[in-house]
Amino acid sequence: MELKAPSDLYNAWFTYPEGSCGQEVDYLFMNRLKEALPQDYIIPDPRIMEALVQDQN
Amino acid sequence: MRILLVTYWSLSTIGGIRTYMCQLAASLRKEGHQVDMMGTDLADHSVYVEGRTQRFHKSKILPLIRNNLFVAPLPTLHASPEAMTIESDRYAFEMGAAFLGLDQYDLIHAQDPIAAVCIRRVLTQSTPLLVSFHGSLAREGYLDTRSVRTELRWDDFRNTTYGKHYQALEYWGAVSADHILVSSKWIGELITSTGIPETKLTRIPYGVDISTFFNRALVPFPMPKPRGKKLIMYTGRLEYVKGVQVLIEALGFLHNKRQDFECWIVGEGTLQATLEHRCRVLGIDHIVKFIGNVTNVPSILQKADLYVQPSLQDTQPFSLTEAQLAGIPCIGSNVTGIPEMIKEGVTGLLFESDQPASLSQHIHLLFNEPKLAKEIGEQARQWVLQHRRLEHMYHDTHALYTQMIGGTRVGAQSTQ
Repeated sequence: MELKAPSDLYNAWFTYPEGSCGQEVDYLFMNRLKEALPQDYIIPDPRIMEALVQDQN
Repeated sequence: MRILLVTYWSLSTIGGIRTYMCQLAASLRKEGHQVDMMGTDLADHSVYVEGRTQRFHKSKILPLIRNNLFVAPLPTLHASPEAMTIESDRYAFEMGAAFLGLDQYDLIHAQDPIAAVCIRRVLTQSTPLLVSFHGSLAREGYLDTRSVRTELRWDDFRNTTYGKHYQALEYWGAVSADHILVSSKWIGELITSTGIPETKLTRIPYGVDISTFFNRALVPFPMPKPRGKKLIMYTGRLEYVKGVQVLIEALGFLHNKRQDFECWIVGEGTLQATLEHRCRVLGIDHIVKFIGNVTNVPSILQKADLYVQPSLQDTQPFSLTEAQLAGIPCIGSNVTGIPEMIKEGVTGLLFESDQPASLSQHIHLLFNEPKLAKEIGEQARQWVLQHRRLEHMYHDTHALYTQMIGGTRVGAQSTQ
């Protein structure tokens, strides 16, 4: 398994990456998780975020 | 076939949906298919597949998700604690689903729209994805909120972030799936009203295992029926959406007219203490018994003279079907999916939803008309025997799976 640096993980998953400042992170687990997720996986889900700012008529 | 039944919610405490998943899994396994059931364990907040030891603990990733969402420029999301909680948690859920593995299945059958949205986001293969809509998430969220804000109207709720969030999850759950399975016309029409084409929906009513039901009903329930009194019964969750509070108020009205009855409330839920308190205030705590959960519902139903389904919203309550199969005269609220199960005056009576005085009058009427009560009880039993058999549900669901796996374009279908 190719180990990613923490910043690679956050930059890949989060649209607005903040990192893990002050948090304990299991990097081996995170790398396994990265391999299980699609390459274009992104948080937050843009479709849902867009719906939140639309008016419901 | 290798099938995954998956829910975003807790796998062990989801009432009728759990029954549905277990029935479907058992029927599929009996025919030699491999079935896994995936969901959340509320005890340790893990995502898991029943029968497997490997678990994905959300705590390993959830703080990171929350932290990153919290600092993101998403003020609308931050304004709703409900939306923020579900949104963070469901990312942990979908990561868990991907971590546990989805590649080995021929078809994935999501049991709620959140699960469908999540699975689609992490699927890396072209596995067919079916979603069942067992209810309306947004409307249930509305009713939950209305339980504490009684003046709240649907049009106001649906424009809140909480309301928009649930509606968006429902819509994208329907869009994400290759096909949608519903049990009632009501829920089907709700989905198509959002612009989802009818051709994407198939309606297959829930089924009951008839022989198992009657065999279990033969086992005597240990608690004696009150002597010389008529027994009203409700079975289900004690939650606002189920309308048990309406039944309690109706019993208060009825008690002013007559005292020849008792009521057994079978089930548990967050409203229990509130309902018990209300019974004391109404002076009916001596005739309303909170039985709790029972393992053999067909057995306890044998004691009942009348069954009430007071839901404010329900798609196709399993508990009502069971009461009808037991031959008990039933009264249900005239709302959402319930009128599809009760033909007024033929297979039951319908009362105006959320109107305890109306419910009280209907109970009074059936107690005074034992011949009518017996007739509608028997007619409802015959209707269930004809239209709600588990083997029909299994047959039609299996046919749908086969079509989807075979790559056949699945058009709109209705089996009833």
